[in-house]
Amino acid sequence: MNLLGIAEQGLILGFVALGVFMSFRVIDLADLTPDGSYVLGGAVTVSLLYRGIPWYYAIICAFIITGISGFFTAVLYNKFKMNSLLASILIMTMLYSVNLRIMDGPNISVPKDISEETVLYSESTSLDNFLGDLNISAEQPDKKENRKTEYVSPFNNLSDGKDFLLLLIILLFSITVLSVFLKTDFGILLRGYGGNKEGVTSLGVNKNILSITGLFIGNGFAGISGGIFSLYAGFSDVNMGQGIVVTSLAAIIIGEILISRFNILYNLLCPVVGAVVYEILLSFAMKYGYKIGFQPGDIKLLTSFFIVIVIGFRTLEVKKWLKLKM
Amino acid sequence: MVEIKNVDIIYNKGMYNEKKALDNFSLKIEKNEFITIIGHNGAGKTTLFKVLTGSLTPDSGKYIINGREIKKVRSHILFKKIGIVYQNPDSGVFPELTIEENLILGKKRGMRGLGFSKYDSLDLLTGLGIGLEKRLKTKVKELSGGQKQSLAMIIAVSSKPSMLLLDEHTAALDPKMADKIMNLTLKINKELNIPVLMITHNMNLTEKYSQRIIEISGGKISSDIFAEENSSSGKIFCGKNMFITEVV
Repeated sequence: MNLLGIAEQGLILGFVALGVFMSFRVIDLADLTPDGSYVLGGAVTVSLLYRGIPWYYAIICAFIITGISGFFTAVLYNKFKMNSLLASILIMTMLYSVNLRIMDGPNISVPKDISEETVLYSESTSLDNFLGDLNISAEQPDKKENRKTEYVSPFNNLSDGKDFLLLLIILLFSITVLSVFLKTDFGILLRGYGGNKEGVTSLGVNKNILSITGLFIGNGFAGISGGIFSLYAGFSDVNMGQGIVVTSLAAIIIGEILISRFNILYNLLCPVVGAVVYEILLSFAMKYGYKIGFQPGDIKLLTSFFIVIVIGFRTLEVKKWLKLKM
Repeated sequence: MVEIKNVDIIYNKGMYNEKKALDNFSLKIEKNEFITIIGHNGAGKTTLFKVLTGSLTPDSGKYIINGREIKKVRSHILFKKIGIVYQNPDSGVFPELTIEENLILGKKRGMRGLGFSKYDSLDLLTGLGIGLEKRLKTKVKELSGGQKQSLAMIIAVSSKPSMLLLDEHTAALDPKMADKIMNLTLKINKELNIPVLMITHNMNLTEKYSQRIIEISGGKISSDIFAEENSSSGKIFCGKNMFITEVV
């Protein structure tokens, strides 16, 4: 079992879990848009790579564009007074078509190299051969091929620690920026909005701005995650975001069980730690689960079941019911 | 100064069940005033409150704050000028934040001067005498109803609003805590010079703390009485062509 590789996948999941944490926990709005914006992030990143844009700029663009998808969810929620779940399902469905258009198909692979087309070569046609005696072709200089190769993706998939280090640096940088942001007055307002949505209006603040900001950041992180996953895996697929919100919720819950009592950096570490632990548990289930009849297709069933159990155990009614049964 | 002038509010206009909730209603709230609105259910108290908070736009009449008429009422803009405390202690505070962060938000009413800031309004918190100033890092969700309501009041007045609106803000509290909250209300009114308009059903608190009591009936002011301090007999309430009552 390649633990480093599993941890790397956990860190990638950590980004989207951070985004889901932002919407579900910080501003307390149920948002399913990440199922679509995760793929959008991957599609935008890979498409930009084909246009010769470096991966880090492509990731930043993915953050902004997927953030805009969150903005639209917030607009439906605020202006059309839709339930946030319905608004996000609608945007997620729209994104499926948008992603197909961006990728020009159901999937797209990451380009392996870039060729600087100072391709010089000599051309000869049958007409040149025919006119050879007249020496007309001599007026055209011979063209040379000058092909410069550059590795596009920053990940080498060798599990030598370099990928892990790069992912950890990007993730820690993101967490630091986010925690500094949440410490500002606007960040406090955003966290306050999560606990009391009408209360911010009493403070003379337009609450729409807060839901827009929260969903923008939340989906932006889903986009970063999708982009990085595409670079890491070497492709982007229109179905790769299916169930990512549920997986992220499972990661958040695991993280909260493990470290939320310490309240470090507004609990921003919970989704990341939870995501790594989730991936480890998942790989164990994949490796040894067959002994108890477990199949790879059962993952989503088990993940959802896990969330139901944890949320169920937190409610007093379930605890009472279990006591009665025992 | 806050004023509403000749305001009409008509529910179900043009329908068989049309009802005039406020009828040519005028009220001027001067600086330093402490007004209590009383009246039976359906008298028009809540409608008046909704007009003042911008939840209802008058069918006719004017709403003036500090000499400027508020034409298009939008709650979040109006609340930059008005502090408000509701009956439910949870509605005026932010439970997931610490006491310190709640105080910061109170100071940043209307997103003024956003950045990194330290808490303020600590004097009021200390003056309460319930020890909240020593628990600044405590999350508000851990506080009792009375403590939350005290904090809600401080948040509401931190940025010195033009008026403080109180909607039965002591109704959910025990008598001892209600008294503390009323003392804080009085302190806010007298020391910060913020006019207070309070809606209540509690006549004991009304007589003990108010300077002016307005009774509403059928969408109109049915009585408007003022309190005068009397060293020998305590508080005397008197109004134009009205009865005089004494409260010791």
